Amino acid sequence: MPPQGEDRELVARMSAGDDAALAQLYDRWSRPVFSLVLHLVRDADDAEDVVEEAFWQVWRQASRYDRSRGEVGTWLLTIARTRALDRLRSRKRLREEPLTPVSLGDSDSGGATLGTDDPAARAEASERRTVVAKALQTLPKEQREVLELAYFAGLSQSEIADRTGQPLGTVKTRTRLAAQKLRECLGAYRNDQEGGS
Amino acid sequence: MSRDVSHSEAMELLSEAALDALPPDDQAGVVAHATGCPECGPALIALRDAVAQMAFAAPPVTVDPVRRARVRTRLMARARADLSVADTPSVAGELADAPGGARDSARGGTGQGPRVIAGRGGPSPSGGPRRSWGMVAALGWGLAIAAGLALVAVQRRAASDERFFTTERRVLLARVDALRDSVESRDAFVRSVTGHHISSLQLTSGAVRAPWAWMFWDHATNTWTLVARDLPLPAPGRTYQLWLVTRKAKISAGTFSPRPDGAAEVQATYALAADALTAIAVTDEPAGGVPQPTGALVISATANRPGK
Repeated sequence: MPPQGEDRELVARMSAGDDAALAQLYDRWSRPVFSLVLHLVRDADDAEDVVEEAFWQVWRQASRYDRSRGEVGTWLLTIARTRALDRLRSRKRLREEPLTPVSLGDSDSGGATLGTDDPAARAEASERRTVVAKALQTLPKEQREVLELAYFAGLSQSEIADRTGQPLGTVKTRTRLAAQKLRECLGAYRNDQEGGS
Repeated sequence: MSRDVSHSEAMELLSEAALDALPPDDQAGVVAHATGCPECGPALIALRDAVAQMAFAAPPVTVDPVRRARVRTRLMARARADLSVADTPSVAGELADAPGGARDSARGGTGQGPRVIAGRGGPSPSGGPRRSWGMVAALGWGLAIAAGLALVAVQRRAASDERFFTTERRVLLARVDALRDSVESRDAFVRSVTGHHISSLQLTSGAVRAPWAWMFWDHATNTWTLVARDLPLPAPGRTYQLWLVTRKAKISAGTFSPRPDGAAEVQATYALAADALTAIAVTDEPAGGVPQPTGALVISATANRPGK
């Protein structure tokens, strides 16, 4: 079964009260969700809370999931991002965070990489990472910048205009072009995935 | 609150809505319009799917596997508690709905249940047999209730034991995870310094016990991996900060401190055009880092002729 199909089945089982399905979904998605959330909140304790609450929200709202409104992964990552940005805003550190590397020898991490129990999910995440990186590389730098500021910093269009010193109209145009180009670039990947179902 | 958004306006705002970058009223207005619009609805979904993929552009991170297992354990405990809460009312309901059940018995000992049941037995001039049957019925219900409560208690104990052993199992699995992930981490590290897309620069210093470092730049994933050795420990309150230098800017790639043996491996993700990099530098800065370099240069390399 293709990954999206497995995710949908897991959510269907969760809506029927199958907690093992929640565990499986967590094993499949905890790596990218942790990566995204930690990248946004920059604090391991906060990230832990946000990840837990994101998966908990998925468990509680599984019966409301509507396949026609997007993939499970999109839904989960959107929930996680929203909660992470909420946490970030509540800390009022949104504009103070420098780009922070992750040390391979970080004593707090024990030097180990976040794992998942699902090797297929690992491979899929790795492939997606490459595909997305290549898709972003195709964007002009200024378009990529507005997209990253909107997605990873949660900035509004006006805030991006302030940050970059560009007119609001320019920011809006760049955002629109960037999102559409990203959609086109990733469309082939998504179609490949669905083609396998 | 949401405001009315026209079709043409919604089409203009779909990308921003996909990023949740609109003011709340506009966001709600666009979503409300798209929900019922055969053109905007699918377009918004497709844009959201594409934008959500950006999550994979976040660099893979190191997280303590025990931390990950802890989140999993807490989630599962919450889910089971959620399920047991959903089940509990039905058990209580069965008991309470039964004639003379727990809910009735709790009514200040009025004995209404047994009396009603006894009443169904028909008239009895003396009232003696009716009372006896009533007492037997009450006793029966009492025993049934007690047995039911005992069963619930046993089930709860079993659930508690299961949670305990599940947690223990998770801890053991986390240790296995840690070992496996440690191997994977090392594999990933090797991949990040080898391969077709990697450029490398050697950083040098003029100090007596010269620190040295290599920076590996994976152009495919925009991953920067610094491997440094023989770095002196920064003074208390100080840290090292890594910089990607272009003609226009000095971009912070974060702060780090070497281990006691002077070794450090640092990774960061930042997209740069292939010809934009002019230098790599590590400077000594106040703890927490600074927006632009202010401290002494510890180690550096120019990127005029990066090795391939």
